[in-house]
Amino acid sequence: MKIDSKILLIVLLFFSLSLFAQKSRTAAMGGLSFSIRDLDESFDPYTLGGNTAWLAESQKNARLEITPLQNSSYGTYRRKYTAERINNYGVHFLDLKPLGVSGTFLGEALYDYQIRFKNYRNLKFNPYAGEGFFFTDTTTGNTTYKGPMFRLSHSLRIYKNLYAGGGVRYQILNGLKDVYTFGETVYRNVEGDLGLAYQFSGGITIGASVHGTNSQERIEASDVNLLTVRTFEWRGETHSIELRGSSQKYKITKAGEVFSGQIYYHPDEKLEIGVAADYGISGSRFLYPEGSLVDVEDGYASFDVTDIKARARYQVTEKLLAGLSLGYTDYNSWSENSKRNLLIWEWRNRGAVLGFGGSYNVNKNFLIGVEIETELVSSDSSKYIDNRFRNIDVTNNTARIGLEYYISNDLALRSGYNFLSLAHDFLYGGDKVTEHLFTFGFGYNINNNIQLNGMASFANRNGDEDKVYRSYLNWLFSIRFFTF
Amino acid sequence: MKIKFLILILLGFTVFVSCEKTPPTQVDGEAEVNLFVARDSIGTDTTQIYTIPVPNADIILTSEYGTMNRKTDEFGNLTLRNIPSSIYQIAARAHHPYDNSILLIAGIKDVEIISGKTFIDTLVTKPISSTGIAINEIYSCGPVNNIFFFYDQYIELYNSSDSVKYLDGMIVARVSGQNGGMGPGADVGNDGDIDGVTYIFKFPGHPGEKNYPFEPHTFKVLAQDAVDHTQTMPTSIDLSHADWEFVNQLSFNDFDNPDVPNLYNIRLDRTVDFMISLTSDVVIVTDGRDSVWEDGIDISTILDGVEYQSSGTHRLTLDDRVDRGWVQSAPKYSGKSMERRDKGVDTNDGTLDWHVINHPTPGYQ
Repeated sequence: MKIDSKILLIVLLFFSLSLFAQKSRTAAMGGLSFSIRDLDESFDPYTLGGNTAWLAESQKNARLEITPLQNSSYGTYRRKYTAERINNYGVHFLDLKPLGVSGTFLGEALYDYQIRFKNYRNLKFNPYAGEGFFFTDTTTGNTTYKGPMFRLSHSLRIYKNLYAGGGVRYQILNGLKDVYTFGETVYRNVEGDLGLAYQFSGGITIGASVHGTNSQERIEASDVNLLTVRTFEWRGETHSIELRGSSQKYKITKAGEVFSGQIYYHPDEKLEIGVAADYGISGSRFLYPEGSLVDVEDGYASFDVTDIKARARYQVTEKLLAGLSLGYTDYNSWSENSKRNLLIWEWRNRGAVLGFGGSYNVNKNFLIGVEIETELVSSDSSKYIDNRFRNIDVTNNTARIGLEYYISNDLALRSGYNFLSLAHDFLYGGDKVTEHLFTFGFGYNINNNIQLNGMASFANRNGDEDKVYRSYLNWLFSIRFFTF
Repeated sequence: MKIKFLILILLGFTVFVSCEKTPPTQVDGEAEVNLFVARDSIGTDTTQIYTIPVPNADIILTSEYGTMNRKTDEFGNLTLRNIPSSIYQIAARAHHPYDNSILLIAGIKDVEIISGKTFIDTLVTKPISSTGIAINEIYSCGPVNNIFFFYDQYIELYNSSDSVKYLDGMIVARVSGQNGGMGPGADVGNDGDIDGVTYIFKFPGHPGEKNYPFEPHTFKVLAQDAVDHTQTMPTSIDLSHADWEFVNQLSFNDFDNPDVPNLYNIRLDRTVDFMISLTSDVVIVTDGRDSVWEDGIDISTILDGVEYQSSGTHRLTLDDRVDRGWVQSAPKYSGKSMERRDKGVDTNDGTLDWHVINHPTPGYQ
């Protein structure tokens, strides 16, 4: 395994599932974010920093939204334990209800159905989560995960300009590897958050929040015919402990907190600046049963994350909007062999990103936007148990272009294109990776009460000088009701 | 009210709090092992005793991570770097350069190899040669199938001595009783015998008689049922030419091949064929002087005993006077077999003497 930044990926995955439907407009425009004016791309403490306290001020339009969606990826460019093809289907429901002095209520539900085709040996839900441990069997088969996610959030003004908010999120997934060992997974994740935000005069708002996560993944591989199941508990990539029996169990528990602070400056309609900083710590324990009641810790992985991002947007002229993005991330992780209290892997990823762009209203019906981002990444990985060491400094570049054209007052067509050039791909481990992403979408107001939005995207990522590829196909379709 | 609510929520938030650990100061995977394998010069040079390097010796390291096989260089040295910390069993074996029938062996047990340190040792091998009758192969797991077919089990014996041995009155037993928690093959009461005999079958005749010779350097295959099992299960094997067959004379339906001589059951409360567990059991072969199984089998009469287990973390239960190690068995219904690395060579350490082979080889085919 090379260096991973999958923790970020997993965290983003959770939030992207819940926010994706809302961002269908910008997603259809090539993923423009900081240089376009959009309700869902605000820099306020809720949208940029995830502080629920500011939900009441950030989201003032009641709506009910139903969004079926699909994400697929497939191809030869993958890691050892990444499935050859992954199809993810979901139906997302969102209910946002401002309640006046009682604040604002947000409810979300998602039913997720994921099929991983040709899942090679892997039995973990997230095989590459930055941990030095794998759990595998001897089979290649299709794995299905399915289950719901619920989220409830509430925000209200508790005293003059002081806002408080909080929320809970619960997700449960059942997984089944439909071959020989019939590896069954029960994945449960509970999250909660609390936040405060205070609005000063002059358009300045500051916020603070804390977000907690507690998850458990229970895996059991057993053969229906009570034949021997062979599973492997990997410490690193080279050394594993073979376990045998008619049934093998493994458990992964994770707990962590993220402490966040936000500053939002929005003095007038022309200028908007937001800064959000997160510091998160978490730990994962890898357990196997010893006897019927006692779980023994075989491994432990620790993570701490510092993530600071700043966004600015300025209306230069009536038609031109300029945007700026800055960010800094620092991920640290180590994994230990708990039985012997020995370090088996430690890695650190640091990255700084600078982006700028703008959007221009060519006329009242036509909007075009461009963003360019450069990311400097420094990674250091020491996989002691495998005797593999790597230190790399790379520059990754992204260019986005997006278009929106109103055919009529009620119908808008959208399109976009992204080009990514990655000196090193931390997701799949390839070097000299390029990606082309094409997006399409539309928005249609059936009447004042109902709005339709749709988007589709196709991306092709080529790694190792075009020898391997991975394609991504996503679509979603949402229907919004503004009164219900 | 709001304050109380807030406190309640904050208390509820403690379920998320992770117990942050500090990273270990030592790293794994940085252990080094330096071994020198030698033999003494006795038998090759009578003027002076000195050690001679053993080149190209097989070095077998076993630990919770499995088995590593390496070879010494031309000077008898082996250096292993970046191996993970664990408790290792280390064995060295090589054929004597002047007499291929002599095996040179050495071993060290329960060596804790710690990351960041170098383990240095010299393994002085001892010659092992003809030791008599030993269990050479146990095929227990059954062929590849999903209908629970395992009736093609067999045990293979090898006479590694240079003289004719006789099977008259010898006993083959399965010892799987739990012995009050001490496990199969343990000596309950420490009275010099192993207890927990489950099945016990006997060759015809009595110890000391000479009617059933076992020629030197030959094999004897003892089949559960001496038939061509491929007729029933294509993935199975043909045992119709086995040397001996287990037959329970008290069973009404145990198959008996009339062309193959039988071992008969001497435990009268058992009415089924000689079956052994697919993946975890103890099998012993005795000279037959002690056939009173109820009070245990005297250890002094045991010619060979093997414990095989499926779990990699198993602890030996067989009395260490019979064998000091256990064999990692093949998975159920995998069609694999367990065999000695060197035919008939019994160093009384099953862990190092045995390995799993991909296909059964009755009669060392």
